[in-house]
Amino acid sequence: MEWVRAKTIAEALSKADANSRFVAGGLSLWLQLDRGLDSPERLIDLSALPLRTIEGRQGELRLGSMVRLVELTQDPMVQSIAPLVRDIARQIATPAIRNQATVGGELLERTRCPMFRASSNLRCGKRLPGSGCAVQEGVSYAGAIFGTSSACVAPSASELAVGLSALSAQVTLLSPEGTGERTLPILDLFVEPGATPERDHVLHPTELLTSVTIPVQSQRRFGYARLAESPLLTTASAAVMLEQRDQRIVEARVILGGLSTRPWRALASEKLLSGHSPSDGLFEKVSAAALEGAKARPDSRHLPALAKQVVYEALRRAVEEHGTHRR
Amino acid sequence: MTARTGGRDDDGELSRRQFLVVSVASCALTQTAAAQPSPPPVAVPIPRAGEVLLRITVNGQSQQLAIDPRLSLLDVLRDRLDLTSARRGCEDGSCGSCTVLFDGRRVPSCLLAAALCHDKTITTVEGLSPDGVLSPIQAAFIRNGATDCGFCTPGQVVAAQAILQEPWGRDDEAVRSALCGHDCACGRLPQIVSAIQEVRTKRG
Repeated sequence: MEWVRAKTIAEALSKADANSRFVAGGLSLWLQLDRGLDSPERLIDLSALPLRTIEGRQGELRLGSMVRLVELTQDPMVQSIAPLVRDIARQIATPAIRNQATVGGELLERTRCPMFRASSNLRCGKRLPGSGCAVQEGVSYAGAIFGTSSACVAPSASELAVGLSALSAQVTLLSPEGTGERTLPILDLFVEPGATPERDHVLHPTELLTSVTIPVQSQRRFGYARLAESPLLTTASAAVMLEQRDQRIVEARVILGGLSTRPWRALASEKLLSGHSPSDGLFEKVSAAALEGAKARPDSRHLPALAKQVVYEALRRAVEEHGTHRR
Repeated sequence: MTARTGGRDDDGELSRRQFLVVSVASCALTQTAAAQPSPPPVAVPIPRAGEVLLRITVNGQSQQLAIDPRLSLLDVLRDRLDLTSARRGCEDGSCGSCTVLFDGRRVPSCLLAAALCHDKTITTVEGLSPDGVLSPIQAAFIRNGATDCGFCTPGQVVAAQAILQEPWGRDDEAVRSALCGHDCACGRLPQIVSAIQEVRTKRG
């Protein structure tokens, strides 16, 4: 296995091919190599690249993909433009992990489903394409209740993605093959497992995620809530956006995480919010509606109630704490 | 995949008290040794196919090794540099027993790709008292009884040292949040918090 210390973005891209992997914070890489989840021929070290800046410009906040999570928790610009990002970042994993984990690495972090992570031979289509899904064959594990398929129920791992989806953020992807740069809404970055659970997202192996752009939205309110089994394991989370005019909600976003195979947009909830004034009664109805399309199995029958609870809590925080909930 | 020397540490014949003294004060011994005239410079290792050159400063000493890029920093510290204070615990980043300082920031060395540490500075608990005198946080750990079996202690001490520099609130609750990701199976968390608070209070 070859290790390439790229000095420029162009050099990193020129070394990329189907058998290479980019290394950002280098925290989950080791785990994947050690457990045989991945066996690339070349590792491209991005640590010397100029992707570590946080910039505020022309109505947007741009986060370089190599910005560390700890920087999101301390940066004054993040705090003033996107306090939701700070609130989420400070809850991700542990302080020691946040010192090294990067924005890009967290967004593309692979599932924490134990069938995928285990070094055992339990069947997992994410690890070994086409091998099946041990969870759906009877191994006890909750898994996701949204966006699942008969091939996979592995929940997605990124919490930043949940918040960034509520913030209508965009990701910029750079490709070496002359196609240059493309920009996608973050919700379009991730894919449901379907029949190809080995794919988590639409990135080509040679594409580099260079930045995340968040539009300034001072008129909107945001809220986030997370239930976690441990610092590293989210059980259920929700991020919401509410835009009000004359007391009435004119636009809303409700995103679920932790119990879906990708950041999950609760469209029924968003529709119910539109045109109404915030109230406890409305939020009760909206959080119940978030369960539309949920597919709970015997091991995950507790999850719908938890999903409802985090949506309600995120809505309450958006309204009561003006989107900057303190702890 | 990678050869490993044993799993968890075995403190052999030592009594618990002797072990505590050794585990908290081992830096004194290694650092005294490091202060002796340094041996003649070793030739730069030439990486073979599939290896990468790693040049790092560990506890003030410059090191050059040819390593397999699949190694974690913990593998290199324990198996190649014989620095066994950082422990192999959960290997998931949630127990904190492998914590070291990476350019001054605490990181879980069990997860971190060693090749990423090229031209960087690493400090383990052995490096916290370069003059052979316990650092204030090490002394505070002993005074507060913040260590019991000692397995997690090197990681806790390194984390505590980092927490002194990090922007956490003044109260005990803030210190407990800062210690998220550090397990002490002996239940010494209250004493660890006291040790950290003692040093912070003295520094004002």
